[in-house]
Amino acid sequence: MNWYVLVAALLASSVEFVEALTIVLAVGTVEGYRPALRGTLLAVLALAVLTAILGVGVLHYVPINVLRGIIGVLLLLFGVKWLRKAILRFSGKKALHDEAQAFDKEVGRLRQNQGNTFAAQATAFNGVFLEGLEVVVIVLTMGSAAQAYPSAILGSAIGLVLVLAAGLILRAPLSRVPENVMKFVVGIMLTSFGSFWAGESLGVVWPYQDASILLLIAGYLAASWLIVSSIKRRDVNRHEVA
Amino acid sequence: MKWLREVYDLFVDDPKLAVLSLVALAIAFLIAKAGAKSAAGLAIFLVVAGSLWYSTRHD
Repeated sequence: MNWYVLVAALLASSVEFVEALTIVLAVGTVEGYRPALRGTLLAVLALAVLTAILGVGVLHYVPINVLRGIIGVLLLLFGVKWLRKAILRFSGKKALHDEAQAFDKEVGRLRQNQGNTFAAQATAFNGVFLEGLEVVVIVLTMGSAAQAYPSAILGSAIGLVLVLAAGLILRAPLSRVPENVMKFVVGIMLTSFGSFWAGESLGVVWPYQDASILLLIAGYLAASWLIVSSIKRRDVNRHEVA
Repeated sequence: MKWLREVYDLFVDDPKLAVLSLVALAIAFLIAKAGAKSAAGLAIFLVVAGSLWYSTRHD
């Protein structure tokens, strides 16, 4: 079992599942659960077909070193995107993501089109497909680069079960999930994995082999903390001058 | 072409940050080719962290 991959896949997938659940709940609230579940099911089927095609293609036809290089680059891009957003949120330059607010916004938008079950189904499909696509990218990239598919799939499956269980019990958007902190952690993990695998495929020799991932995680965490505090300090100084 | 835009958005939020991350890898490749294979990893970390600093402070 590769614990790094399991934890990263679990956290990243949970965040995406929470966002998808919010959209499905909004559709269910406005148009009923039939179109919401139909859209969800179609999106899951589409994602399963896509994963099977990509997964088989990737595993059978691309050499592992080339694969790690491509995946490392994609993970690095994916990771810095998440990390940048998280830094902006924690430094107060971007509003923190709030599932309750996202739910209200989606419900308001759906109410304008109320009675159109096709549009409701399409909304559920789009939400689940797009959020699910990020889960597919995470599971496929981390699973294949670390040759740890079972860990990536298990992590993601645990995330799905946890989010589904919480959603079924609460029947409300999961606004108490510390989504912003989770996104910060995932951004750091994905950036670290991306740096490690992309570097390895380009000829970098990492000291202490896989343990370097922990050093990278610590390094990016420290750097992010420094950036957040420097932005906060700068904004305080600007307010004082004004 | 809408799907292409979706795929692009999946990986890129700030194009400058994405380009700088690729530059970090290119620099690491050159350093590793020059023989300093361990220092190349440090270069990736420093350039990526610096790029995040630049991108978030200039948002």
